Amino acid sequence: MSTLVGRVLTALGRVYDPCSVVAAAPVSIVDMGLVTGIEVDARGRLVIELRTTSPLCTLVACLARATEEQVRRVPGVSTVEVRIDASQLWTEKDLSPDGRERLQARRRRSALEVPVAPRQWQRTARPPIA
Amino acid sequence: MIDGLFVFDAVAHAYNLSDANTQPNRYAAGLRAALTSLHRDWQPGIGLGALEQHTDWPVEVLARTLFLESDVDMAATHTLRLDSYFKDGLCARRKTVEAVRRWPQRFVGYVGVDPTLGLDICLRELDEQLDELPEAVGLKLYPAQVDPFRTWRMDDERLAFPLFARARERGLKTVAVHKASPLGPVPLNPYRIEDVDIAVDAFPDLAFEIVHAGVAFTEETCQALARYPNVYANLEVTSALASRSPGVFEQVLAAFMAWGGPQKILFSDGCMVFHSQPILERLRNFAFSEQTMEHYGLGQLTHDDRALILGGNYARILGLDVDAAKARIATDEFAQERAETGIQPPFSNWRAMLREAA
Repeated sequence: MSTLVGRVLTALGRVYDPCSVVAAAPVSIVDMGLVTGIEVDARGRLVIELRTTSPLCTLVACLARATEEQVRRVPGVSTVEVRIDASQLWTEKDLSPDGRERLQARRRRSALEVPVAPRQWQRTARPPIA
Repeated sequence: MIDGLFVFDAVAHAYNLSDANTQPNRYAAGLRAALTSLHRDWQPGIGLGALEQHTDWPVEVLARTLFLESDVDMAATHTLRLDSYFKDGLCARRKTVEAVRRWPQRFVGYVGVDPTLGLDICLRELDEQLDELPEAVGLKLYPAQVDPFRTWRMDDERLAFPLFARARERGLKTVAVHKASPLGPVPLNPYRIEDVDIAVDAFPDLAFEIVHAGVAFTEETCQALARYPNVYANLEVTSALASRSPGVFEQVLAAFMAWGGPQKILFSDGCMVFHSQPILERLRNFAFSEQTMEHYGLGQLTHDDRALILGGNYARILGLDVDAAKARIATDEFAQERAETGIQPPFSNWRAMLREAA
């Protein structure tokens, strides 16, 4: 059974958090820490629980669909049910070390591309709208 | 006022979530369900049920909820043009007019147009609405419509720029654009922040509010807050994270404080999706953790910071004299009733209205 769970985890590693993709730093839902549960019984009936990074995430249906599509192909899985786990809030602490490093590298790259100083607007001639 | 601070809620709405007003497409049904869930689940125990929410919310109930049940002193209400989701756009033009005309000491109004209809229609409708409500202070915009999906960009020099120019010419102070919170299973790009940059630089004498700032794309929002004097983080819905997800709220507020500073943050809550008072109570007691202050290189949130965020910044954008505003509301109908009853229970006025209507 652990082999089957391992294969499922490998498949989940091919499902990417859509916002990270748009940010040009694709991180899988496993590395994002969005997978909160995997249960599989002897007949290969699989239940996966997911959370989102924000309670307001409206891409949850896309995540669920992509997850189902990937794990349905895993040999040994007979049925797939994806549940959205609203009980567990996500924070940045839930990132895996690899996921954290990938996002931090993207941030560092962005800072180099567009150097912006905190409260830079205060150095301009214009005050805030008055 | 709360702790002596003037509170200006920069977004409050009287929606129409009735069956008859909901467009017959799955995006509209999904958005209505999402709004209903926000009301029910993010402030559990005080909200109304789905059937009670799926009604046409009266402006009078909005006013009573804000000014009798919370410490909000003044509020902005927007004419919404989510026409492809709701037949009246979700918050009809007549409601904005009613709020501003009945209680000018309490409400300011935003006109609303849908840029996906094209420039000619936008300019005509902007002029019509401002002819009707010349005291309007702002323009509210949504980045996309559905069924079929269509969008526009803030940096479109042929569509958006002439619209902003007309808004400025007609005396509007601020442009509020919904960002960061995609309205259903729709493409994400229109809800990103980047298209704001060129527009805000081209119109330095207009304020631009990124509404729902921090719900997503916090880093991009921070970059805009840091670079441009006229970009503001409007905390509608984001402020409710203070109780729903306090850790997330702390990180978002810290990021905005670090990159933009307290001068760039506007309190709002989207009342009556949320009730203002529990959020204000949270903000009154809010403090950054030592770890967060160290992480961002920030000091603790001060009384002066709160004064700016809760109303000072928005008053500055509008050119509002806060002392004069306080004097106007000191003895109005809401002040008088509240002096007799004290602060009223959350959503008690809405429930009373529904009971009377039943």
